Amino acid sequence: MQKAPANRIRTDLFDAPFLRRIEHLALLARRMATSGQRAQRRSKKIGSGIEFADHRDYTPGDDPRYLDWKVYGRTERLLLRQYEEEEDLSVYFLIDRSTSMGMAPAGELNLFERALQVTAALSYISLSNLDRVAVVPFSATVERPDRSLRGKGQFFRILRLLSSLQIGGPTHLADALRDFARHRPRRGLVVLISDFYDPSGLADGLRYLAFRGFEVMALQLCDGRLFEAEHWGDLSLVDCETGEQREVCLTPELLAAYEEAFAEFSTDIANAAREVGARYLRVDVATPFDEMVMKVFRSGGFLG
Amino acid sequence: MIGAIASWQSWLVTTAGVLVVIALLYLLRPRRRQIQVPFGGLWQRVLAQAEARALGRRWRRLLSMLLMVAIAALMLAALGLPLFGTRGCTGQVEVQARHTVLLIDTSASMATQDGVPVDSDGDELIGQRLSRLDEARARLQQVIISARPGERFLIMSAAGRLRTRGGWTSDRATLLRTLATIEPGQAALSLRRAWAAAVDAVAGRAGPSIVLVSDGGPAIESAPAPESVPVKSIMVGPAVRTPKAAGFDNLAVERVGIRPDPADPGRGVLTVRVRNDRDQPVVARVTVAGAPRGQSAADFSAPEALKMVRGKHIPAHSGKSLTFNDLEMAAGRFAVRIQPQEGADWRDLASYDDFGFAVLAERKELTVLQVGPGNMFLTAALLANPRVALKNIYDVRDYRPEDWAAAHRKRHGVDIVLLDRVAAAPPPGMPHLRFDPVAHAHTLAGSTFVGGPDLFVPPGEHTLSRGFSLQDANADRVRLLEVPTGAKVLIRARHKGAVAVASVDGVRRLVIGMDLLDTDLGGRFALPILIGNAIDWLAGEDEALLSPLDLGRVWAIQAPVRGLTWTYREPGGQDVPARIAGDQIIASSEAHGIHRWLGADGSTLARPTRLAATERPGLRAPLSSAWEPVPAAEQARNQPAPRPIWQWLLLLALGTLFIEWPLYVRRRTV
Repeated sequence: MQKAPANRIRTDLFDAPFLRRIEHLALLARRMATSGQRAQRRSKKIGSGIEFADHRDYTPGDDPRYLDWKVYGRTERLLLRQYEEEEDLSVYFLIDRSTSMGMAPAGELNLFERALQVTAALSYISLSNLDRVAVVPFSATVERPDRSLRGKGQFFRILRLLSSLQIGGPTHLADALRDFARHRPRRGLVVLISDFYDPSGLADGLRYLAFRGFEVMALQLCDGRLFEAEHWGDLSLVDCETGEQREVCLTPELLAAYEEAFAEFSTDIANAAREVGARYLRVDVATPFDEMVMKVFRSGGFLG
Repeated sequence: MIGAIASWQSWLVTTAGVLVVIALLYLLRPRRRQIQVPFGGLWQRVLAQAEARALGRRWRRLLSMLLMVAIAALMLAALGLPLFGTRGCTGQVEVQARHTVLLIDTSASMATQDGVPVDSDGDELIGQRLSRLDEARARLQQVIISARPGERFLIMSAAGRLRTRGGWTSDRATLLRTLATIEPGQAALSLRRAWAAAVDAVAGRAGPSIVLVSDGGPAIESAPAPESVPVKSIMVGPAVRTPKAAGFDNLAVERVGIRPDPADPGRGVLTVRVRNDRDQPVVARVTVAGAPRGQSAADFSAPEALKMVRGKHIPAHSGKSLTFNDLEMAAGRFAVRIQPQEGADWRDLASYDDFGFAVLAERKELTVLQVGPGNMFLTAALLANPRVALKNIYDVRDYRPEDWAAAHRKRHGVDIVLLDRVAAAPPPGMPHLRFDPVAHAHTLAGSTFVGGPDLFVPPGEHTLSRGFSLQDANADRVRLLEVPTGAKVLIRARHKGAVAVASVDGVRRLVIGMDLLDTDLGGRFALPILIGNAIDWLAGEDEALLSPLDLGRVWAIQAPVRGLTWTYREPGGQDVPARIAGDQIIASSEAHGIHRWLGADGSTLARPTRLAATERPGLRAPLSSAWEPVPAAEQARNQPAPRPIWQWLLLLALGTLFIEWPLYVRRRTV
């Protein structure tokens, strides 16, 4: 993986207005949390928390400090008080950095850059909720991830990390997700941001993540501007990742057929996500940034 | 493009080349533009469906190529056809340059409104009339619209003068616009000049011809069409007729005369000759108007200009002289108008001839030198003339002719010398009046006296005889005079000799060989009139009514003072510098009315115009004239030529291209 100098933040993506905007988005998210929705996520573990969860029979070796003596006085049974163990939520942002993510009309943000912005915004919100955040770029395989970060103070480190990412390589989602799950034993929320342009499909990778107990939110970025053809007639279409060429005569009818095929492709991805209980969201890159982040925030499990 | 393919050989080479290029374009695949796409897999899915239609696509490809070849073939055929001529393709004559002069008669009679317009259903529009010029425009429009390709036109309008409207052009819009601007004049048609100008215009040009549109008339008779150029004649107006044919709804003023009363020059008599062209007698309203500065009909329409209005009965299809007595002469300029009586159930179709104009001459005071004893009648007649200042030399011995010669005329201020019963010679070069009724010591050679003859005034109007009559008069004694060549006898005695002679041999002389005192009473009354007429005639101002000018002709008017600059204004026009040639003022106009010249010294000249007799709306060329309407075959040849076949081929090629385009777009779908 090629990386830019790690101490530089891309000002074209993360300028001051952008930072003010995600601060505003974080405030919005907090307001939504205090209005009845929880901001923190509670783990299912029973452990050393402070909130009572249940009783169980005492077995030798248990910490006698957790014996419920009041119950013993009434029932003469040794029962051990159990508490819910509060655990930090780990949020993994898996960002597709394959070549196809870099396709965009001249002068416009491409999918990858939009993915970086969305990741930055969601990271900030997660860090504000004291979640653990890790950014994991991938293409054919997953990059070796940095350690998870926690606390708002780490936000600029995340920005530097995002700024250092570069586009390149083919897409192989199944391998990448399997690789990721192998290196991340701690379960958590996986935000998978990609165009999912993988000939082998997304289903296998999602199944593997679900099997490993990850909660998955699949965010499909698409670019509707690519349907607005600038060239008509005889063309040679070159796959930007594989270099494979196809000769076509681009006509309005053919373009309409392509749009139809893309809708079918998106439906396949949504079905694959539904199969494993993952959330799925398709967002056009032309969607305003604020709207896009809040849409992801609401439907992506960040509100519990 | 047609010019680029100059011969049929080059056309063949071009055709073959283009067809080969098209075939190669279909057979050889051009390098395609490469476009990067994010995910080729999706395109593969789309194109997999297109593959299923590969067979149909191949057929389309073949059809597309055939159509493109057909389009190219049609276009090349269209371009090549002019090389082989169009006769074989359309049956039309070969296109060649033609030059046609459209000669349109704009004489006064073309303003006659005897055309009846019809609506789109062919029904006549009640109450509306078209002028002959409107009809002429419509006929010429047909000629222009039906012109053959390459035919160029030049529009000329002819009345008294000839005008070229624009230049040679084949642009129909320009020609039609030019036609619309042509208006009728008030002069007669001078066809001889028009023919000459039209022939000059087409001289040396390919395919020359002249199209004349006119309502005919005597001008056609007097100027036969040129033989060097083909002429097509189009007649407008009613059917051909002669002046004595059926009636025509028109009243006209033919002539206006005015004569001041010799006894009271402030008043006078107006005589008008009017004409009724109808088959029925009509009661006409004749209006006399006078205005000191009036020039056009509009100037005489002001209420303060109105002098007299009379209803006059005019017999059917004839002329009539009307007299208006006791008319004030102070205005000096007069207009007469004739109209149908109010409430008449018919309409005058030619309003342009309803006006006549008259101008009284400006008369200066004359100094008359009377040499001789005189008598009381003669002296009274001279003194009664308001424009005469009299000088007398009673004793002929005090008279030396050379002192009063023309060279000294200005110094002495004498205009006319009157020799009364003296044998002295007149001053050299001076106009003079001699009373010579008695025998002198120096009796004129060859003269004899006769007593008691009957006096006879021979026919032939002379200004000296105006208002003067010797009807049933005789004289006691008269002298029979020798009549020199060029002189005119005013009075005869015994059918032999003259008793009075007006000589015009360079200097005006009048010799009266009788004494009116010796005549009957009628003769004595006539003396002041005769003297007044003689004074006017000798001074060169015998025309009380200035003779009218012919519209459209070139006028040469004697300037009273030589070397003066003059401005000219035609009726309804503006002051412009007058053209001077010697002591003549040269002008020409087609505006009916009174024309005025103003000298730098403040003197004014005014002359009325008259409409030419040839512009009577009822006049037509007789049936025997060579004037023929355009033959039907000629008209048929002027019909619009069918669209050349090469244009049809081009249209077909474009239509085919329209069909081919979608196929072309689809044909390369893999």
